[in-house]
Amino acid sequence: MIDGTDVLETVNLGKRYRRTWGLQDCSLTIPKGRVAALVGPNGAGKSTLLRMAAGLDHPSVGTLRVLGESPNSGNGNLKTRVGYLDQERPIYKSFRVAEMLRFGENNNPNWNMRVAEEHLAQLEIPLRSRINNLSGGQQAQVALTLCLAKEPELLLLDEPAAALDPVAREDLLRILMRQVADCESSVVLSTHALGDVAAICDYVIVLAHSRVVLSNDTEYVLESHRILSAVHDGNLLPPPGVSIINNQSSARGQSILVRVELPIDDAQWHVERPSLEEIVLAYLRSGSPGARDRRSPDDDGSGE
Amino acid sequence: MIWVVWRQQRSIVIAFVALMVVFALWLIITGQHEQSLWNQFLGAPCKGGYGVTNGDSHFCRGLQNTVYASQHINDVATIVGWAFAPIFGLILGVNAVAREIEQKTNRLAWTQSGSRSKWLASKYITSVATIVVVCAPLCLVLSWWVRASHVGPRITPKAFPVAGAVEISYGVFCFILAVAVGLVIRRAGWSLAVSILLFAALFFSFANQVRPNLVTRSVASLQSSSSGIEEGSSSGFYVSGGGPSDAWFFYQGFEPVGTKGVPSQAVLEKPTSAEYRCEDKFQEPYCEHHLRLRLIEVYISNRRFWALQQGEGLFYIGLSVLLAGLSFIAIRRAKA
Repeated sequence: MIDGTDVLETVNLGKRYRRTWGLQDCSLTIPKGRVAALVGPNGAGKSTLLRMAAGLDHPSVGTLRVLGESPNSGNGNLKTRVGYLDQERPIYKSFRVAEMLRFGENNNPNWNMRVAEEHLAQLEIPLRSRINNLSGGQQAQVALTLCLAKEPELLLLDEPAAALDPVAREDLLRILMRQVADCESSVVLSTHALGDVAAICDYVIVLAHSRVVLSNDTEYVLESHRILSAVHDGNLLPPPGVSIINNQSSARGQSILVRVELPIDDAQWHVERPSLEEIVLAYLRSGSPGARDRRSPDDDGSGE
Repeated sequence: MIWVVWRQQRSIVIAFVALMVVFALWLIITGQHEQSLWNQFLGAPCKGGYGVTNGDSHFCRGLQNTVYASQHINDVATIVGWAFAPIFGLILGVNAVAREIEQKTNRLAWTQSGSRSKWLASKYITSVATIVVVCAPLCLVLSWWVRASHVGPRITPKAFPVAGAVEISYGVFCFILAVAVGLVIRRAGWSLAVSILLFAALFFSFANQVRPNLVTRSVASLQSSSSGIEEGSSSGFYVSGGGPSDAWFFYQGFEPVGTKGVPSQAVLEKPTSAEYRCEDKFQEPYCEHHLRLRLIEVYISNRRFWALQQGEGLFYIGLSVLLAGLSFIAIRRAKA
């Protein structure tokens, strides 16, 4: 049950598109005040989850709660509390920037025009410009401004930094972090950029093959995983009390990424702290159906 | 939301208003010119081509050629006038929903505080009001032009769609049809094509099958006489009487004397074939007298014009309300 401190909760959530599942058996909880990253390969179900959370799609099975409410209940109040940035960053191309802000103002009771204008001024995007005449990065910034100026409690951002140049990406992430700090918003963003996850996210959810394979605080994730490596010496058994996430063997030796619950005290293994990127990649590799079979049956990937 | 809808369709509306103004001006100018020519042709000395004296025959023939030559242009203008409101409605409808879905801007709109139903309602209110405001003046001008240019009696299928206010209901229906089709097909180009086909099929089916049966038809007797030979009739007999000249005529034929009600075309054709069993001595008009038949024609009087306009207008508006209701239901579950 949601306890009032969770911004997003799903229980066995699934979305079926004709013959294929876009998302399956998705159970996760994102606490309030976090910047959560949804990571996974294309087709893993990240956008599907965000679209359902934004009320744009209906779940086929399972339960979904956003800020304690069902996004498909037709409750307009929830929409004022949630900001959604679509992957395609749709905005009215024939409008001027000022008209897009007017659109936001007319459609959101909590709209903060000062915030919107300040953001755009910082980015040197003139209010008189037509959206059509702006670069892709500037259009993305206008779309993000529409979300931010709503001052929502929860921001759902579908690949907000995709197709942006490094400077625009840096600007976007900076603005995002300031919003979180100023308005205490929670953020759920999907991304392929694992560097961004480590830089700004304090919660990580890994989706692979339409299922959740990891969901927890980044700090906890970093603390609870280790890379064990050993020079090849036959079939070396892993230490007790670990769950193997990914095992990479070569002619020279063996390297496994494991989830640990107790300190490892095994001289045969060289123990290293993995980076978040290494952990996520290991889960993505293990998320393949064959890899999942190799994991222990009680390992639900939740890390909890 | 109404402001946003207006902003989205502003350029389309401006383009159509410009077209409407140019077309209306053309109708007014050509209508006045043609009205003047027809007045001359129908008045003395030409009298519509009847009773022309030798001295005026050249002038009258020239005038006749001029008024009849413009009929081809009038046909084109009638088609343009008929198509204006439906095309306007279709383009607004496709732009309102299918294009938004195609460009995914509906995702932006549907994640704001307003509901999807409110979003759709604002499209309906703004666009229907726009169609009425833009098409109403054109309807007035077209109605006048049909009379001035002698396009034909306003109740006939050729003039009916442009001679009253029913044109507005075509525009409204086409808008709502394009919205509904757009919700299903989700592609602007395909939605436009399918909507055009659906409207054309409905329009022609209604015009041919339903409109002639919306009001009761009238029957008028025709008197034939062999003196027609002297009157210059090529068929050898002269027919007089019948319905008013500005009526919508359907068919003529012979019915047994004393028949009640309005006979169908098939009923009238039966005694016509029997007529040929007459012996040679019974030439027209004596043959039908001998067989106790009378020549009649079936028509709808021009006085029923507004009743037909009302019936057809209500049909399209009713269908629009039904489609709009279905669209409101569909949009709640529509995939973004």
